[in-house]
Amino acid sequence: MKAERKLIALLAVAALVSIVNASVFVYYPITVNLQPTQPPIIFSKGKNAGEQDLYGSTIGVSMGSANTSLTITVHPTYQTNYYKNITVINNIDSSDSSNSYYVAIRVNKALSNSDSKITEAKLLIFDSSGTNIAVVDLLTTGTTSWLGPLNANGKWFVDINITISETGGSPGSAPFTSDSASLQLIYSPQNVESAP
Amino acid sequence: MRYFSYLIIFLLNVFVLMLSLHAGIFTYYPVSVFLSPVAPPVTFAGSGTYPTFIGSANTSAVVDVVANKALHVYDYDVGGRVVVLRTVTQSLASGGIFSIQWVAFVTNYTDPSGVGVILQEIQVNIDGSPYYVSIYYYGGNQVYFQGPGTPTYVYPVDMSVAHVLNITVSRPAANRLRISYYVDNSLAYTYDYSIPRRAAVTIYSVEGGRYDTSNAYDLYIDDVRMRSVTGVITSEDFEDGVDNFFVNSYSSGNAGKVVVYYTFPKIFLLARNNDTKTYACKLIISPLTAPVTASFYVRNSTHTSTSIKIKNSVIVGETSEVLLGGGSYTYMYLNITAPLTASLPITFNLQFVYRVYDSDGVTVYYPITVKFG
Repeated sequence: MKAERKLIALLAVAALVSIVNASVFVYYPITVNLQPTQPPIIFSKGKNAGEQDLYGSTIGVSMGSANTSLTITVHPTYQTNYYKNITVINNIDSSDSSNSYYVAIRVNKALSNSDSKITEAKLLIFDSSGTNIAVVDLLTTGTTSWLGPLNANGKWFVDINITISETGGSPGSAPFTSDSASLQLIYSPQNVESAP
Repeated sequence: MRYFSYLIIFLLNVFVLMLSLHAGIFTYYPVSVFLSPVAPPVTFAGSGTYPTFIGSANTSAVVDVVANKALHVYDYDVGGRVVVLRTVTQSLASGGIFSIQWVAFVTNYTDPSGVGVILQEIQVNIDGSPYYVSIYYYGGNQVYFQGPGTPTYVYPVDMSVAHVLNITVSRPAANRLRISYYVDNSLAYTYDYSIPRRAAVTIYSVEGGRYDTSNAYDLYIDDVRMRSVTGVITSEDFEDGVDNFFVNSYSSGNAGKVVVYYTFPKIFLLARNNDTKTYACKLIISPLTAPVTASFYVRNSTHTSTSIKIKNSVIVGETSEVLLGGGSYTYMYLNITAPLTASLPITFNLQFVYRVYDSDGVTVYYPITVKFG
């Protein structure tokens, strides 16, 4: 009998607790307004985009319709291959001369370099005076520190330098089939916080 | 204490406000880089001149240049002179033959008064009067054959490389001298000169350089070979470091002769364009400090680049470009000299650089190592 009473008492307490916690819901209104703007930073083709690459190929530079994505395709051979001025990073936010942006480059997926043929792969950024402001290693993942700022109406120019070992290579064949790296261009009006 | 608390709270608010103004705005654009490699459109090939190691893809080279010795005849003094000379004094009877031969290369030539440089000469005395059978150089790509009884004969020849020069004087008949000039073992010019039947003909001397002043030049001589009228061969390659041939030489001012390590301008490497498009190519060199004078340049079938110039250090670090057409070759030349006191080997680190003609979109660099010594 005592056990039955205890069970009843516990059930009663459980019911009471559920009554106390349930049915208490408080609603605050939150409004999220999206007001998209045109992109202040865009890619454009460099002077040598589409120019002749080695053999019958061309230096491939393509951008999305809003110029906010970029694909570069180059055709290097053994030894050192330097691709100059193939892409431009533009700050078209000219509404205010103070509209500067800090830029970082993140390598999310490095070149796989599965047979270790690539001894060096760099993406280099130069300002309009020709000063090198960044060297991004395409063989390792990571994020640069904030670069710049890229001032309103400013332009930065992108080069690529690829060095491929000829060890084990042959003059009649390409050093390897293909490889790719995935990056992000990140920009922000501030340089206090790192990009997540 | 209260004011201090207010200050802290104020600063925190400012900080939060700044964060709210600038933080949290990060925009990400995707970027992809694709590599789609190709076989090398330009590949190296050995010249056959020097032992050469070519990389497995024919895109690198190590060239071992043998440091032979040669005689450096120099005149750096427009008021000075140098004549390298050997007195022979042999009679040339009817039916006799005398010849002198050596390899010569002249460079850094300046000659405001037009006196020229004698690359090779034989003094022939006829009845005691001197006559000179000479090969002159006044600049450009030609030499001048001068001798008794005939107008100067102009012979076009590429003077960016060394040449084997030979003058042969013979007496096929008692009343005739035959004078023959050979360049690179080919007869370039010959003529007969009438003399009295009883004339006393003497091969007096062989020489090079210039007695007249006002010019400045470098003349390199090697592999001397003299055939006397009696058929005796006298040769000198200077490999013992001593000039035993031009024993009657003289000079004045900042001019003279010295045996040095030397390579005549020679092709040390070839590059072939395996593509159909045209590339522009050149050589560049890394910084160097060594007791050496050297030049490197590139040639195609029609044009020669300017030179890399080294005199103890790099003076000019790259050549001009020459075009490398589809399926054609370009030739890389070197010319190196160093004093016998230099510590060998001396290593030159060069790069063969090419780009698609009319574009600077892609530039390719192949390493070349040249070891001299």
